[in-house]
Amino acid sequence: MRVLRTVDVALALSLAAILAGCTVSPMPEEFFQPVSLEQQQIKSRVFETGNEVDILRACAYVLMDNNFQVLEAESQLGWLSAGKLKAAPGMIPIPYRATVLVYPVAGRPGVSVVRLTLVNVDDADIYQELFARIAQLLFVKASQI
Amino acid sequence: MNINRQTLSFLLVLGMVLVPAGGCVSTQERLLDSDTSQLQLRSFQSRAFETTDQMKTLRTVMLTLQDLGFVLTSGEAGLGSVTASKWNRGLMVITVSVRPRGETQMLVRANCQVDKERVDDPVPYQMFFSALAKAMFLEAHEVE
Repeated sequence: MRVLRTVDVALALSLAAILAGCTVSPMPEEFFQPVSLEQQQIKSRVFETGNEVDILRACAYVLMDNNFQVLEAESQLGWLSAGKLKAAPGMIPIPYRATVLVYPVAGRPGVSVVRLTLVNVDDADIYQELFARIAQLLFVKASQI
Repeated sequence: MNINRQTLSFLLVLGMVLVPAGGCVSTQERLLDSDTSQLQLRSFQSRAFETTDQMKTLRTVMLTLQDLGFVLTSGEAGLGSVTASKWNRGLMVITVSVRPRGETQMLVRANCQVDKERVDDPVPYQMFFSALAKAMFLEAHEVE
């Protein structure tokens, strides 16, 4: 009976070790699968302005309205990164991260594309609301790609 | 019967020790020599593009990383470098630098880590540069 228990324990430990050993590191190429076109469209808008600094500023304002803090920004690259911690009462705070990338549209001066990414947030309504507020601040129209 | 169970027990314990050490070695470790030379690694990690526009190249790198689902964590135009990360059961961090190469080219070098381990497998670098070349509308040239 004691031997049987030893076998059971050894089997359980072996399985645990196998599982642990195989799930720790994913294959590097798994990280290079592109995001779906639908998701890219949800997170992108075309703005009728070529002023990238104004766009970044408007994005920062809207994110700050939602209690994000700007962590890093580089206007020359048309990029900013923001983050916040949000917690329901008595719960562990959840970190949220947002990045904004603004880039010109080839052959269309005075037009920019804004790519807003909220990590682990795919809800189209949230992006729609944020883009609408950015457009209001810029007094320009935001349209889908 | 007891002997059989004891033998089985011994083998399972032995397997418990050996399997995590050798059974889950990734394909890249099996295919490549462990002493991949620095020169070879640099070749995997680098591509040259026929353009002189460093800023445009850097911005296209950032866009490509976003299209691949990476989160940009830092970027510096002066240095021509960006860093991004992605979580997918583990954490990949990629740093990409862009600098002029000769009179007519930009050299793009990417360096990947998964869970703080350097990625020596050429395939993920090929996937990254393939996506970047499409975004640049340019052919990526391998460099030595």
